[in-house]
Amino acid sequence: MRSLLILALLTGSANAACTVQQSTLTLPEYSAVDAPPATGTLSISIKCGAKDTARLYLSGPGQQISGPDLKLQLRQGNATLSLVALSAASLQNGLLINGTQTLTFTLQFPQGQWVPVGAYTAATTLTLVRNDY
Amino acid sequence: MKKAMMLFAALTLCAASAQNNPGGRSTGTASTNLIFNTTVLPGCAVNLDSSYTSQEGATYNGTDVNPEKLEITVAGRGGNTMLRCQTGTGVNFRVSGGESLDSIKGFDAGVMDYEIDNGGIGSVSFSGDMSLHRVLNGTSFDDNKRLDGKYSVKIKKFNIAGGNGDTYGMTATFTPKAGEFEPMVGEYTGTLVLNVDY
Repeated sequence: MRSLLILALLTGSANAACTVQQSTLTLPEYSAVDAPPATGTLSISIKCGAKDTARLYLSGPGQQISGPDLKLQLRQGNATLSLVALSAASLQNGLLINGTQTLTFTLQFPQGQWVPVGAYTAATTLTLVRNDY
Repeated sequence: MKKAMMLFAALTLCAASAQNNPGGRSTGTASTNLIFNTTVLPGCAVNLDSSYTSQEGATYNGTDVNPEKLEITVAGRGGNTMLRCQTGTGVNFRVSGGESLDSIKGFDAGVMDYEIDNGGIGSVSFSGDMSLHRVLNGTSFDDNKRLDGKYSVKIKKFNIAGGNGDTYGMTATFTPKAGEFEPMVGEYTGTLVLNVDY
């Protein structure tokens, strides 16, 4: 009986995996003249076992929570361009993932950013942490 | 008691195995890089009035030693500037005569183009000869129906820290020459056209 219990635990652990299947990022060009500015999307597909959970984190330079949203910073030298991931604040401290799902966040540039023209970038990291550890 | 210890050991081994296998399915953490890239495009918000008029009540007489200057000023700072551009947007300005009479007799320098340096703070000036023509008698350009002088258009660019972009202001003047007795008494007018390309 005790041997069976051990086997069950080991089997359960081996299957307890949530993985990011695909992440897609689309971001348009920006102009302060556009009203409203064009929007982009961040789409993340996660596959989990039936009872598996995990937490999803996004971290990047200058990132901060702004109400329900997550504010990101794209940079060109010392110049910064703000980008808001709508309803994505929970990615800062770990969004609970429960089951297979595809998350889609709208990315929106705040209006009126009269920053220098040119190419802006932000290197962020998407991390999935299993809850069973 | 001995069997209980064995169970504990087995679970510990399982966890250790998962932690030490970061590339495998049973790893506890996985991460990927998301690179956000975009391009900020040049462009301007134009808030030019359809026309600007010099101060009211200006007068001229041939006896004036220092004839009154006609002046138009458009602020280049504040929330409602005539032109606000994405920082670094290249802008061309061109000044020309607004009416056929002005363009025939008003300018000695024709059309001038100038691009203010990207990113920096600068200014550009246009100047030359200009004549105002007598209102209601503008079809003739006899010297008794025109008032000669010099025009000046100065456009200044500002870029104030705090994300205001490149903003532009303008001062345009017309200064009559002293000692013109030939122009008939009456009202005189002249038009400059400012073209902005960005």
